[in-house]
Amino acid sequence: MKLSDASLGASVPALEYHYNLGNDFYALWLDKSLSYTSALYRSPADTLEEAQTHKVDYHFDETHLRGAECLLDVGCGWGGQLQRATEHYDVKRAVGLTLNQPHIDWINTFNNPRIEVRLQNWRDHKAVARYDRIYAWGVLEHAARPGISDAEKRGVYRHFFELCHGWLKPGGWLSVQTITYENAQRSDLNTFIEQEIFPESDLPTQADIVCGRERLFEITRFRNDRDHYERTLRDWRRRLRANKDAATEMVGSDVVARYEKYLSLFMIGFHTGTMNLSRFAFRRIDRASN
Amino acid sequence: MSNVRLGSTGPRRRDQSQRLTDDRPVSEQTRGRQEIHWWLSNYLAALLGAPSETVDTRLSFESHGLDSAAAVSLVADLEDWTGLELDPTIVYDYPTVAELTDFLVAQLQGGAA
Repeated sequence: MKLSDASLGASVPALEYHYNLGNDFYALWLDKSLSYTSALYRSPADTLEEAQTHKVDYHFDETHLRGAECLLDVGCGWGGQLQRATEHYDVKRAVGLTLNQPHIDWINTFNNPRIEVRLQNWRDHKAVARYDRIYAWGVLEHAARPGISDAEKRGVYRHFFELCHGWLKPGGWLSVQTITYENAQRSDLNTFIEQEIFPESDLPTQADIVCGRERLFEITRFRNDRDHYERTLRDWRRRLRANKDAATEMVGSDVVARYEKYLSLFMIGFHTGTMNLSRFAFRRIDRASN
Repeated sequence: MSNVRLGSTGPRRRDQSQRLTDDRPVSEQTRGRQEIHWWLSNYLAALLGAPSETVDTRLSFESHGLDSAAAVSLVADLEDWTGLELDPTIVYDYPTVAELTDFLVAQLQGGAA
């Protein structure tokens, strides 16, 4: 299927609108690794830092990362998982893709020769050599724009899985974590989210994901964790409130109020099941030649 | 996160002089059951644009048209008024005036939320 411009997902300006408020602002309320996707809590006593590490370790373990030669992290953010893969999982080469220059500036401060980060849309990525593992957390939320047909939207996710299949070695593993629609659809969502928080972005359903990987990947693990995202948001909201004066000085009171409202709305969304947090592990599967 | 049905922000937030009838710090005040019930009923009435005595407090906030954005505003106003730190989700866990009143009374009697 040929994809139209509207199928290209959120534009760079749209993503910058949300993600480019300065590394210092996000450092005020995210964990130390600046992980900006749902954590995974193992116990009621877990701190946000511990739960974010659990999330990374969960995905790495589900995809048998230890000792793998080379990984690709699509939408690598501030690169915490690239650092953990190379330092704790003996990965020799970790390539990250992001659309935000501040992410790259941050990752470059690691001075980690095993990490390579590129300012590149995943649609434009060309693998120099095939990867052993691919990670895409918090990416498919921005892959499709609102207003396209269901068929075109399915085509977007299909394209993503086709590219991942081509980038991976046979038998390689892929991990996806994404927010999905659960008991609602786009028209049920509060317009504040689209207009003020995540412009040009529409969510997939779990069925979109499952259909998109047909004949390319087998699903080896799947779990829904909306309660974990609600708790993550609670931790973020609490930290933002605790650092409100510093945040206001950095980005202004209107932006702080906008973020506080968005974190609250998302807490309600996950609490009531409007949205879910879906974590998948896949393994590339190939047809035997006839 | 349903769409706005009765306005996206709920009733206008009161300023400090209207919010408190007691000059003591919030932490030293005791918000009684009756006062909390009255506050919530009036909040809903303002949201509906109707006299408070016509509001059926046995019905859920959602059935009164309180969408997620209005719920966030309600909880923020409740935090200002009570001095408690509250989750925005309490409106869904305690979905009527009576249930939310019971919850808030317990929180105020038991200390910080």
